Amino acid sequence: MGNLSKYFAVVSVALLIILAVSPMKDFFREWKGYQYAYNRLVATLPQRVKTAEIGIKQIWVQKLDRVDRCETCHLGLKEEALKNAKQPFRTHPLIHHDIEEFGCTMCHGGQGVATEYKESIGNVKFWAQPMLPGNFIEASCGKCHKEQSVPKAPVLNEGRKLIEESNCVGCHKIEGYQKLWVPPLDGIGSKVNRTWLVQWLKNPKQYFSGTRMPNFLLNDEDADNLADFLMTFNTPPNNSQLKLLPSSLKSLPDARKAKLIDKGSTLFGEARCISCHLINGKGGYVATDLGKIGSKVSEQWLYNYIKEPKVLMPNVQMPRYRFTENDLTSVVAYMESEFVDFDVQQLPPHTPDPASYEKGLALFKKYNCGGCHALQGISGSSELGPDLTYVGSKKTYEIDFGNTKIEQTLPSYLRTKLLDPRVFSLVAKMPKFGFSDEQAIAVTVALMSNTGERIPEEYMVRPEPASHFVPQGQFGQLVKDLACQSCHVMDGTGRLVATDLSMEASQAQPQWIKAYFKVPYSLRPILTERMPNFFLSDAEINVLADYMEKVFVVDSLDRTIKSEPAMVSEGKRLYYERYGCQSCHMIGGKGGYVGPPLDKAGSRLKPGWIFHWLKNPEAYKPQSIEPDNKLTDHEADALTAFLMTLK
Amino acid sequence: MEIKKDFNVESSSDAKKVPKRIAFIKSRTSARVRQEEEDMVMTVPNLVVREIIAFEILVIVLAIISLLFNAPLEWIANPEHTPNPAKAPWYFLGLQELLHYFPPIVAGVIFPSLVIVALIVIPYFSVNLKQEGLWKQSRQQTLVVLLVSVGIVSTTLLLFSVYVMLVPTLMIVGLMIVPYVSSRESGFVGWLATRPLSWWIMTWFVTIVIVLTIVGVLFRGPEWTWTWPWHEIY
Amino acid sequence: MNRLTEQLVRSRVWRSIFRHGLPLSNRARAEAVFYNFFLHVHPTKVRRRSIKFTYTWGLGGLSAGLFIILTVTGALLMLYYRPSIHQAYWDMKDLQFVVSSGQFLRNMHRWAAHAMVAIVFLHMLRVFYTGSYRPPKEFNWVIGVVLLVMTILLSYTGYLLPWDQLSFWGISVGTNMVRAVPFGTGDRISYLLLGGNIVGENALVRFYVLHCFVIPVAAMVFMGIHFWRVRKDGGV
Repeated sequence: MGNLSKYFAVVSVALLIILAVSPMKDFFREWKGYQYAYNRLVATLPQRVKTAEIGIKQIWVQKLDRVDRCETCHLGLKEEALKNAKQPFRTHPLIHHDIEEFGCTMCHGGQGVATEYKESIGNVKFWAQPMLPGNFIEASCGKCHKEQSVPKAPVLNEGRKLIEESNCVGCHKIEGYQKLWVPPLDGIGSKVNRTWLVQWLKNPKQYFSGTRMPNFLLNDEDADNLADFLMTFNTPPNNSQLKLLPSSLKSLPDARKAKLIDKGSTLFGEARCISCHLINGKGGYVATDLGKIGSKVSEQWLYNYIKEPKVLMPNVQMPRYRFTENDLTSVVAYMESEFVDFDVQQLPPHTPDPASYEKGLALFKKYNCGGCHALQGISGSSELGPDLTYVGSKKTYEIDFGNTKIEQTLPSYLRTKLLDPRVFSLVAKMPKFGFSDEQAIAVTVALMSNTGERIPEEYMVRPEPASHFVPQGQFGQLVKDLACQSCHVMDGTGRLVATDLSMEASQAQPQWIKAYFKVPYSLRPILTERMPNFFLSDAEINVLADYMEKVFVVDSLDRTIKSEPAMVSEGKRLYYERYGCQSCHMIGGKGGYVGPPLDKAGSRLKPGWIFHWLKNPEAYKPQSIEPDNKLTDHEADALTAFLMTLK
Repeated sequence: MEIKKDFNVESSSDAKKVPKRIAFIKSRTSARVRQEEEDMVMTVPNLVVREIIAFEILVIVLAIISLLFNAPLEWIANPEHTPNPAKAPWYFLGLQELLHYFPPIVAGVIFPSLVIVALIVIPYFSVNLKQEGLWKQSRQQTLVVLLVSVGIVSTTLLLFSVYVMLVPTLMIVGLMIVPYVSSRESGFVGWLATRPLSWWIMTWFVTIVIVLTIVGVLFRGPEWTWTWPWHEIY
Repeated sequence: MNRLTEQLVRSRVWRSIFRHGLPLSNRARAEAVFYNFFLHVHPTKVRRRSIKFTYTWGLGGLSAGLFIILTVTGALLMLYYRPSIHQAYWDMKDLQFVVSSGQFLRNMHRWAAHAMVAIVFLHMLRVFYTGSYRPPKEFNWVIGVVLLVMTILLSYTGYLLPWDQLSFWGISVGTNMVRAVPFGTGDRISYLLLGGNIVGENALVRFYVLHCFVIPVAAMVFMGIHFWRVRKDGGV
């Protein structure tokens, strides 16, 4: 009994101690230390900054379903005085969004509910989405911002552009991207030569560094088999036949051939092919490089293609030039003789593997070539690669990092995968796009903006609804034939390389438009894109100009200007003295180069347009550098009257 | 051969007398009560204080463990991602281990039901109330029965390649046979000799349960393959 | 001091609560057991042999103690927990990061639960090896087996509540085992248990109710019987 009471006493004391210690652990929590440190720091500042009340602080954003306790330690987010303080107390840089309305983790990621440093960063085993590193943070912008161009998010915009241009949707399902046109492979056997094809398949960027075709890292045998397989497809689409050239170039006497080439050179320049095409890396960026085209395609194919591009390549955005037979032959002769790869090494004679067709077909399917290229009904699958619809929500534990030693996070995985697609698994089939590290980061950012998070619609910024404008009738035929929309936008459709034509007839006078089609010239000497000469007939020009005059008009831009001498002279004074327009624009060879020359403005532009443009340039071209001088109606009228005298 | 009983079992049927006591009276000797009254102590404080001390120690130990080790909390439930391996709580891992060898109906239904039924009926088998050692009577017959039943069990286990059960089973059987081979009556062997059959069966069952559970908890990795604990896969 | 104690013990209030004096005499000690609701499950005198620690290892008592700890910590945890798949996991996180001593509370509950499964099992082994299941205690052994099953079920139903990967897949694996019961009965039992075909919101609510109310109440009833029988059969 005596011993028992002693035990009882000792154990009871021990129990009391342990029950006292348990809440002590709570008393020494990490965040309290930070809050005391903050209050000490604030006391040393010259400015008066409110001290923090000791306790957990949180932002509860009900609509976004998150509780963020980051402010428990990040106490100075809104205190200007702490701009240069050490973290976690530093002021948050100015952003457009209100912290109370968005919380912290909406943009930064990490574990918002946590009140411990390591846990909140989220780099702990059982938290699947750690904080986004700074260079990936624009991924969060893209969760809500689905518009074409997201303000202040250059990396995200670049990434989205790269995803679209790389045609990732050929193999992956990704929302918000459209499949781009890729040359079909029907008739490739009569288009290219085998040597070129094998080298192209092995490394496309070697032929054209700007190509969108990725490198599938094929070995020699696979490249041979795939090339042999493709070379068997020598019938052009829709069973059309390649026409013969009027005179075979090879059998021509040299003198006559030289003459042809000479003429072809002139026509090639006049047709302004390099507005869209590159020649060994120089020229436009709309179409492929022609620098070595002579070593790639046969002269017969080239002849037929320029003659009728859409017959050999349905839906290609190449205009059909109205060359005469003779002119066409000379252009082909010029290209075949001038644009040759002199370094090409002919492959040794090759006997195709008897099973090359089957092997090639298997390769074609394995690498999902059909995902991008059309080939006689061998269809590809856009879901061969993993579904990327919600790739941004991928959990770290769902990722197979293979044997790599990289950081075990989603951004680091995607970036590595894009740079070296086969590094995680040898059986991976993804080709190498040759991205630079910046590009890989950009694509990663854009991909990670596709999350499965349910965000209320009021937070979302959707892209503007797509236009479905398709010009019809004779005009529509011509627009298609001349591929106008590969450079011009019309009522919201088309690619904006040159000007938006949607209100062209309210801007320009019809006579000028007609004259321009005859001999197009660039308004601005500094631009590289230039309108090609299609060698249109008068009837065709009339169709184009008439349609534009009736349709591409905005009624509100109409305005009659009285061209009284008093107004003209006032306008002249305003032009030269008040606003100094000559510093950017040129009249009669005098003035600046920044804006277009105004020499013949009076015979080119309509007065209503000049008036409205001067009043508010940004309303028509948001990127324009034309200053908004806040002109009165009278001033704008006067300037217009003056400019209209320049004929 | 008929075994001649040298005692009679009598049991009291007087309802007022609880608890029921059974006396084994060998005919050779006269009935004699060895101990008239057991040593009794007061519940307060002897028992109650002991109980309180035990409870306090329990709380202290649990509190220390709780201060040192956090209860696990993994990622939020994700029905679309099955962890590999997906493990049940530790006390079911023995069953899950069985599931790896036998069809689900056997491992998941028949085995556990049999175990529970067997546990329930244990006290109703009033055979061998004297708790006689396994080898006390008819050693040859016992050996034959033992070997045959072990043979059947082992073959079944071998057939399904359940080595994690086979090895402990054979070890237990080895221990069972020791007193048959050796006739020492003192020490460990002597102690083994006094173990009755029910003791052997229970020990076998407990060993199997413990071995299976340990294997399931520590030695099973992805696809339920054998993994060493220090590879830290679990 | 002594007089003060004496006065206190003799006061009307004291005597209305405790109907016995300080346990100084054997009579008072006997009365302390006799008149106390909590202690009257014990006899006034016990055999010295049966309170020897190495005879029972206190396993039954420890199981009961764990049950008390689990009830107390469980009730406190219930204050912070909502059985909904949108909230359950985040309530766990709040316990960890915000609630004062929340993590400690959860740790206690978790470790005590695991300990209880183990100790109840060990208790069963002790009873077997000491032969304490023999007549007249056959039925109490059966109740003990029922209590073992209930302990495991309590632990198992609680396993789902944190709604993390461990819970979800632990329960999925378990209920899939149930499905193996033939003739479609397994599917029906599993449907009944989960309130659906998959582990989801309904399953969480069902497990919550089973864990916090149904099984504990049933276990308490069986524990009552168990203890009472122990006493009646000459135990402590």
